[in-house]
Formats: sequence, structure tokens, C-alpha cells
Amino acid sequence: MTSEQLQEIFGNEIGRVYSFTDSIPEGSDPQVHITEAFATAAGSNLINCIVTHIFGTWLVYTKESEVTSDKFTLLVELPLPVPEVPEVPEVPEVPAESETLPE
Amino acid sequence: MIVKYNMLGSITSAQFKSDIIGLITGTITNVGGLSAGCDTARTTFTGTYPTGKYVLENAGTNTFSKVHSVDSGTTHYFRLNFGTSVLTSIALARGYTSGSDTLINSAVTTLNLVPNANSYGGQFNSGITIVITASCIHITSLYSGVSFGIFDIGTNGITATYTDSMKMASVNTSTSAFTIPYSYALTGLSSGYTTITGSINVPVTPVIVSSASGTIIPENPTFISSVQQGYSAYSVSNLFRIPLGFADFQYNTSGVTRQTGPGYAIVTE
Repeated sequence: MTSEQLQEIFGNEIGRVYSFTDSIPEGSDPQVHITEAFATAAGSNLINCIVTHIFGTWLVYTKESEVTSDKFTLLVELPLPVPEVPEVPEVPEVPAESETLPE
Repeated sequence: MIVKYNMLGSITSAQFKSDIIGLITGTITNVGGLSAGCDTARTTFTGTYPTGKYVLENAGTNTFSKVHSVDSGTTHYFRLNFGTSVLTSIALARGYTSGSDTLINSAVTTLNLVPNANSYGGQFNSGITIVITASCIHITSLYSGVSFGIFDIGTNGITATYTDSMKMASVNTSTSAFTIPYSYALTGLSSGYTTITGSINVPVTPVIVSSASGTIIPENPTFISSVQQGYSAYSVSNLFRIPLGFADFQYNTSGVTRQTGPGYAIVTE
């Protein structure tokens, strides 16, 4: 999945998208398990995030603090930088043609 | 229920917090239950508390559950984050795990609601107005510049299929911005559950009109929709669009009180 696709789904406000790289215990709710793992990695159960399954991968999106953990890989920081538009070289103005028709 | 909550200059952070929590949990239903920091002479309660809808799940983190007003099988959660003498933010969530006290699929909105002493006299409410119904909680404070609520919403053509989508939204009734923390977005190959944001839309903004017997304040329903769901619309419970020029803060229609924000009316029962 590309950064552009991630921005399409999560929007262009400031935020981070992580992939969950650990295994999910059998019988457990993936969203609960991943959220709790993310809260543990963040060091706070007050963190706000969403957990979603896209492209066959469990993703975590948060607008809050950066998380460093071997269970989560940072995929992208949003919004993506706006690509610079190359400057168009100035074209010298062409003098307007005379409206007077030759006789 | 609508509470016009006015405070004394002496109100403490703990009193402010306990009053807000008590109003939402329903343990405070009259001025006698409010703290000593409340200006009881200028505080009023109108209407009835919606029993059975709100439960304080964790008093340490001020986490509540709320049963949907129509779909009793749907429960969502919200958390009030307090600082010193300030209600900093509200997090709205699809789910909650009590064991770890963790919100599941949540988004937070900054409020910065602070207590303030009544400064304009008895006939004006310069404090905080709180609407608590089975469908919504709405908070207005001129002093803090807050006009915000969490509202029940219906389903639409997308969420009827993708049923893990939330049936609640946070709405800033000053800017018209809304957030649904967790709902299904159809964005081609990258479709999936995500946070949906956008701006409220209405069929048309009404204007004040008159009959032979008096003035009528028209109310139009409000809807929210997003390009991420093909502009499939949700209705918003208890929230109506009213004429922009209407400047009063409370009025009755058919015996039910409305609280108004800028261009919006919130039904208080």
C-alpha cells in the first residue's frame, strides 16, 4: 500500500499510521488486542486511536504522540508533503497586434 | 433536560468537575445537588434527566457509556478529560475495555471549557448551558467559546451494510464540523473503517416568518455526510437548523424547550 492510499483513507490532517507486526492470540478480539498493545507501547491507556484492517494488514491511526515499539511499524506521517510545482519560466509578453487593418 | 449552570468566582477545580460529572450521571438533578461553587440563585433545571442512558464506567478516567436512543442494542462510549479547572477535551469511542480502561476506536475533540463567575446579572445566563437527553449531550459556554455536542445519528446506505460503523458523532455547532470516530469509508482499493469528518449540511437554511398571530421559528433537520461514503447522509438526532438571525438562546415549540447555538437548535428532551 502506498502513502497516497493511506492518506486517501485516513485523510490529510496531522496523524500517524502504523502497521501491527505482532501476532494476535487465537480467540481474542483483534481490535481490543491491538488497541491495548498500542496503549502499552504509548505508555498510556488514555491514548486515542483507531484500528482497522485494510490490504490484509492491521493498521493503527492516531493523531497523538509518536509510538516506538517492535510491535508497530510507522508507515507514514500525515499529511504528505505537497509536491512542489516546478516554476514555469516567464514568457516575454508579445505586443498586441494592431486592431487597425491594413488598407 | 437543560441546565443553565452558573458559577461563583470561588468555584474550585474539584467542584467544577464533580458538578459536570454529577449532571451527566444523573446524580445531580436539582440545584440542591450542586457544589458550593455553584451560583444556585442563577442556576436552573428544566425537564427530566434521561434515566438509563448514561453510565459512569470508570470514575478515575471519567469514562461513560451511552445507549443509543433508538437502537438499544448499540452502546458507545465517551471520556471527559479534565485538567486543572478545565474540561480539556472529549473523546468519543465505538467501544471500551473495562479491564484495561481503554477506549476502542476513538477520536478526541478539544474543548477547553472553563468555569466562570456570572457577570451579567440574573436575567442572562453567562455560565454554561448543558443539554442532556437520550440522544445527545450539548454544552454551550459564551465565556469559553464552546458550542459542542455528541449526538446519536442514524444509519445510511453504507453503514447499513458495514454495521461496525458508529451511530454517534461529535458536532461543533459553532463551526458545523463533525467527526464520526469509526465508520466505513468507500475509497476504492483502500476502503475500510476509518474516522469520518466533514461539515453539516441541511436542505436549506430557514428564515424567520410570521403568521397573523405571531412569529414562527422554522426548524429544518440536519444531516451529515462525507465524500468518503459517497455523500450518503445520516440524520442527526435532536439537532435542527434554525434562522441565522435568531439571537435568543432558548425557546419553546409544542411545549419542548430548545437551546440554540449559532444557527442551530438542540431539542432538550
